[in-house]
Amino acid sequence: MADTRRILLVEPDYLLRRTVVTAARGLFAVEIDETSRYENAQAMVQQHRYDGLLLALDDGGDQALALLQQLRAGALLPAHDSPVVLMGYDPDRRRAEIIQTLGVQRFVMKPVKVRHILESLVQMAPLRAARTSSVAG
Amino acid sequence: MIPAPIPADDAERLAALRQLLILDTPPEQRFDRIVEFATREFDQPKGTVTLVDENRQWFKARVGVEPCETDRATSFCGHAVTSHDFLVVEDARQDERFHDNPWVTAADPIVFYAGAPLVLPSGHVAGTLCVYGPEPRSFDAMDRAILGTLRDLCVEELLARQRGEATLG
Repeated sequence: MADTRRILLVEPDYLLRRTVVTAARGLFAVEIDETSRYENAQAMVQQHRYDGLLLALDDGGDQALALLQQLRAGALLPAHDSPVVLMGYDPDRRRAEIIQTLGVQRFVMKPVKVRHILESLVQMAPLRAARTSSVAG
Repeated sequence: MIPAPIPADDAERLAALRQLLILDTPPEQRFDRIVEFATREFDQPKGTVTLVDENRQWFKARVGVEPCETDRATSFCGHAVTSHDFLVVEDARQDERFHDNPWVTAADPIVFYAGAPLVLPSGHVAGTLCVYGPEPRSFDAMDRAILGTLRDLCVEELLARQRGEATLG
C-alpha cells in the first residue's frame, strides 16, 4: 500500500507499547516497528527508512537524545527531518535545551495517554478512514 | 430499568467461563494493571475486569469499586455480555435501560459506562473490561480502538493464565 507509513516506536512499558501499536494499526495506514530498548532501535534505524519516530525518554533520556542527534545529523537511514515525538517526564534544564535544538514535533508528558500519542501520529500517517468508524471490537 | 437479559447460550457461556478456573480467585497484577491503565486513559474513577456469573457479576480486578461482586440483574456488564460489540452508555440517565437503575440513582452514580466484551475463542463472552464514572461522556472511534486493544490484552492474559503461563510482557 503506497500510502502506508512506517514508524518506529521505542517504549519500555509493555502495556503502553502494545496498546499504541495495536490501536494505531486499526486507525491509521501505518506499520509500526516496536522495541523496548535503544540498543535495538539503533540497529533498526540503520536498516529501515522510517517516516517518523516515537521515542520514550526513559532512564534520563540520553539514549533517545543521542539517537535523535544522529538522525538530525543525517547519520541514519530515515530522512534527517523526519518527524519525531518524544514521550517523557519533565526533562531537566540541560536536556530541555538539547531537545529545543532537535526539531521535535511534540513532547508528550508522562504519564502519557495513548490518545495523545495517537493524536501525534496524525501528523505522520494518514487516517484509515474506512476503518475509523468501525473499530468497535 | 430493563434487567440484564440472559443470553440464549448462557449455559454454554457459563461453562466456558468456569473452564477458566478464575472465579473467586485473588487479585492478580496482570489484570490490575490493565484496569488501572484503562481508568487513567479514560479519566474515569472506576473500572473493572468483570466476569458475569449465573446470578452475579464478580470483579477479578477493580479500581474505585468496594465490593468484589454485585447482582447480575442490575449490572451494566450483564447487558454487555449479550453481544460481541461494545456497550457504551454516554448518559445512563437518558437511557431507558438504565435511567432508574439503582446504580444510576445512587449517591455516587454510574452515568457514563463503556464496556468491551471479553470474547473467548469459543465465541462466548465471559465478561467485560469496563470503565465508568459519574459524569456523561462521549466515546469516539479512538477511544473504542484503545479500549478494544486493552480488552484484547485482557483476553490474552485470561488465556495465558488458563494455560498456566506467566503474565505477558
